[in-house]
Amino acid sequence: MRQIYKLFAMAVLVLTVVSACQKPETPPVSDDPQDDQQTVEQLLGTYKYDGKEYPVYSLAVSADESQIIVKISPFKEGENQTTYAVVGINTALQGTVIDVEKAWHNDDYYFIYEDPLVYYSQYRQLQSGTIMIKAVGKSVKVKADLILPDGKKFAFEYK
Amino acid sequence: MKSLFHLLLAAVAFLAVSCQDPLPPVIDNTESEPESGPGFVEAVPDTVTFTNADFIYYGDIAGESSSDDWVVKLYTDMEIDELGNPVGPGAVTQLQLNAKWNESQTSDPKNLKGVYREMMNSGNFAPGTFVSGYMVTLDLPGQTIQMADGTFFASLEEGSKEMDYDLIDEGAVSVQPNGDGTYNIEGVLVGKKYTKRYFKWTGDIQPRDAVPEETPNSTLKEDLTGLSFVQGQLQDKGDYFYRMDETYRCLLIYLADETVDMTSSRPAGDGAVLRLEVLVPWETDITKDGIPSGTYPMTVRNPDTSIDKDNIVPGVAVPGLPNVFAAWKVSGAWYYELEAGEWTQTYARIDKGEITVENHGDGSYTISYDLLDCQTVPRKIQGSTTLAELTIPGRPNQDKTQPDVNSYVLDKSETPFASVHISNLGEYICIAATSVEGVASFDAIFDQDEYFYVAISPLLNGKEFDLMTEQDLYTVMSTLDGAYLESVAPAMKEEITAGKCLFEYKDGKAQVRIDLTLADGSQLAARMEAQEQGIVVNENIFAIAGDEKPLRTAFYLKEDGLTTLYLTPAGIEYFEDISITTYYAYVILDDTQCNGRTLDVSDIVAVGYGDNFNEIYVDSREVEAEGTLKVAADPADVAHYQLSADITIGGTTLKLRYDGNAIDAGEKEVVKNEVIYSGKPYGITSVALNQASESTCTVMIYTEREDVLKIHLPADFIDGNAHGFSQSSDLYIEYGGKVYSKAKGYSGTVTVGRDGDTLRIDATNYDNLKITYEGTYETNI
Repeated sequence: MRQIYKLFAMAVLVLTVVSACQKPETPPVSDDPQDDQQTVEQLLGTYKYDGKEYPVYSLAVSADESQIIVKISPFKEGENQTTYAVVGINTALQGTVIDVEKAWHNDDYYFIYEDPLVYYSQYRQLQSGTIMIKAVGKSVKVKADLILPDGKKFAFEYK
Repeated sequence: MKSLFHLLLAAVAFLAVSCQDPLPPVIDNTESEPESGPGFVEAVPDTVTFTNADFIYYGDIAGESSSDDWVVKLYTDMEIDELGNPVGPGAVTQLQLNAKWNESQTSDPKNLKGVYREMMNSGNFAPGTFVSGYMVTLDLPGQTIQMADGTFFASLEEGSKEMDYDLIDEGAVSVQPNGDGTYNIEGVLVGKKYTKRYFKWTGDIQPRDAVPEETPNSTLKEDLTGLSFVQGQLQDKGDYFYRMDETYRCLLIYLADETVDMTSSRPAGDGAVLRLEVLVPWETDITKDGIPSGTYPMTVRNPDTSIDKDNIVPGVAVPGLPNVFAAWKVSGAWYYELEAGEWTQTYARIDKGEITVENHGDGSYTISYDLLDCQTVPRKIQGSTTLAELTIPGRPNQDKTQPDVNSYVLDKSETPFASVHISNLGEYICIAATSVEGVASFDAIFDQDEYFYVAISPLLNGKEFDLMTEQDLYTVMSTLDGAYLESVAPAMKEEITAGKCLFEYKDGKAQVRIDLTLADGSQLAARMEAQEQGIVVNENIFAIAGDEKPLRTAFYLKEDGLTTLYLTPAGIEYFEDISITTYYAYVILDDTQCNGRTLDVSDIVAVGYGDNFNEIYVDSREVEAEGTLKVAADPADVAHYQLSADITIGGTTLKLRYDGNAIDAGEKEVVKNEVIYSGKPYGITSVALNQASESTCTVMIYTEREDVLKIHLPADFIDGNAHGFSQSSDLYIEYGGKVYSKAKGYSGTVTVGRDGDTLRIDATNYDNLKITYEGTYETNI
C-alpha cells in the first residue's frame, strides 16, 4: 500500500512540475504546503560541476507530501533550459542531511544533471555525498555536495 | 506495477526536459552560440557525421511476433587493415533496434522508420526500442576477447585498432525517410560514460538479410489419403503435461509400416510412422482397458507452443510440438518416414483434425484419422488402420527376468541400452545408459529423454549392497519409460521397496547389475558394462569405530626430525580447516620410521583422532592404544605418502588406508583481494563498512573499475558466517548498474566478518560475481 501511495504521490508531483514549465511566468502564490511552487528569476547563486562554477538564474521548487524537488539552471525560467540540475528528496527527510550512500536512490533522494555534453539521468546512482533540502515558508534551503557516478563533483547551496 | 513505477520515474526524468523536444536536436555547431544568461556560455558538443553504414536484418529473433531485430553499424571513413579491422582515428556506433514486425520476415527499410528509445527492461522487445549495450567474451584458441554488442559507441585513437567502448543504455535514435529514397539516422545516445553522443548519417539503406533459415514443420507436397499401417504400439505417458491433478492420462500411439522396427519404445528401421497422442481419463489402464473408444479432436496449441490447462482434458488429441525434430524429442502428432532409423525429408507436424478409435474389446482396434498438417495451405493425412493388437513396450510376452549385458528388463520386457558411458563425478564412479544409439559422451546421455544412471561411492566398489539398508553414498536415477526414479539414495528410498546392486570397477572397466522393485510394484533389472580411461577411483579409507568413509585429504608436517600426518574424510584444501571437519586422525613418528616397515603403536610418538562434532579428542599419549601401522615416504616426492594403520585407541578402532600426495600443513590460505566480474578479475583498492540504517550496513568495495561494489546486509550478518540471499531481503549486492538479490531471482552467499582491523569478505552470486577480501577497512560503525 505504501508503494501505491508513493506512485500516486509521484504522479501528482509530475503533473505539478510539468505544469510549472507550461506556465513559467506564474509567480509562487500557493500557501498550500501540499503544492508549494516557487519561481525566481535573478542571479541566485552558483553551482559547481566538474571543477567549474556556473551561475544559477532560475530555481523552481515543487513540493507535496511525498517529495520536494528543486530544479536549477543557468538559463532563466521560460528559456530553453538545455543545462539544468534536479535535486530532490523524500519530504519526510527534509531538513536532514542525507548521506546518499546510506539512503535509497530514487526513493530517499533524486538527482539529474544534463547539459549539451553530458547526461546523468535519475537511473544513475551517485557515488557519495550529501543532500539537504528544507522548505522555509515559501522559500527553500538547499545544500548538495555530491560525487557523481563517474567521480565528477557537483555542489550547490541556496539559502 | 513495476512498469508503472518505471513510467513514473521516466516522467520525473522528463520533467527536467519537459519543455524540450522528446528527441534532443542534433547540434549544428556551425550556428551561433546558444542563448545564455550573463556569465554563462553553454558548451557546444560535436556531432559525429558517419559516412558508412551496414544494415543487417535478423527478423523476429525474440519469436514474439511483435518486433524485428535490425543491427545498424555506422562508422566514419577509416583505414581498414588486412584483417578487416578499422584503424583510427575514427568512430563506430552500433544500433540494435527493435523495429516494426514484418509478417513476411523480409528486410524492408520502411519498417525501420521511427524513433527508438531504451527498452523498459531486458525482456521487453517492443518496437520503438533499442537494445542496451553489453560486453561479450569470446574464447578463442589461446586468447579471450571482450567486445561490445547491442547498442554501443566506440572511438579509435589515431593508428589504433583498439575500440574504446561506451555501452549505450539511454537516449533516442530517429530513422526518417527523406522522400528521395534516402534516410536520415540521427540521435543522441548516452551510456556508461554519461557523455552525450550526437550523431547523424544520411544515405541509402541497403539491408543484408540474415533471418535464420527456418526448418519447415511439414514437407508434404500433396495430401496423404488412404493411409494404412500394419503394426502399432501403445504407450502410457501418464501426466505428460505435469498437471499433477490426475485429471487425464496421455497415451502415445505409433502406427507404422511393416519395415519399421517396433521392438523398442521408439520406432527404428525404415518406413512410415504416424505418431499420435490422445488424452484419456486418468483411471485408464492400458493393459486392461486399452484406448477408450471415441473421437478425439485435436486440442488447441497456442502460438508460443504451449497448451492451456483447460485444453489438457480427456477426449482430445495433441497437436505436434513445433520445431522439435529429433526422434527422441518429438512430441504430439507427427507423420514421418524413416530410413535406417533417421528421419527423412518427408515429415509433417499435425495441427488439426480428429482421430477416431474403435476399441473392439479383444485387444484389436480400428483407428481412423482425418488430420491436417501445419502448412499455410494444409495437407491432409487421412486413412484408417485395423490391427489385431497394439503392442505395449514393457509387456510383450518375452517373459524375461534377467537382462542381457547392456539392456534392462522392465516387467519381463527387455530393452537394449545402445549407449553406455562411465565417468567420475567428484570421487563417485558413475555409469549412465540410454537406448539411443550413438550418444557420444557421458554428459550427452542426460540430453536423452530416457536414461538410467547409477553412481556409487568408491567404498561400494565391488560390494553387492542392499539399497534399502546401505548407508554409504549411492544414487540411482531413471527416466526410462514406466520406470521413472527421480532419485534413490540412502536417505531417499520412497520410490522403491527393494533393491540390490553390484558395481564393480577395475582398470577402466565398469560392470553393473541392479535389481529394483519400484514403489508401484514394477520389477526393473539392468545390466551395464562400459570401458573408459581416465576414471579416478579414490581407494583411500578412513574408518572409525567401523564407520567406513573415503579418506579424501591428508596433510604432512615435518618439524624437528618428526613427521606428522593428518588424515580426514573431509575434502578440504587448507590445514586450518581441519578444525571444522567431522573427523580427523593423525600419526606422529620419527622421519626415519617412514620407511614402509610395520611399526607397533608403542614405537611411535603418538597416534590420535579428533571427533569435532562430539568434541572428543583422543591421543595415545593419554589413553591406551594398540595395533600396528606402516608409513612410507617417497624419497623422490616429499608430498607422497603411503600409510596403513589398524589401531584401537581408547577403545575405538581406527582403520586408515592412504596412498597419495599429502598437502603441506604449513601452506597458508592466500586470499586474493579481488572482485571477479563476468570472468575478469579486478583488484580491490579499498573497503569501507558503513552503517546504512539502524539495522543494516553497506560494505563499499572500491576496485580498479569506476563503479563501487556494494554489499548490503543486515548488521547482525557481520558475524563471519555464510548467509544466503534467501535469509533476508536486506541482503543483496549492487554492482555494474544491477542489483543481485533474491527478489531479482538471484542466488547468492555472503560471508562478512571482522576481527579488529581486519575485514574478511567472501561473496558470490553464483553467476557473474565473486568477491574475496581480507584486509583493512574504514568504518563509521
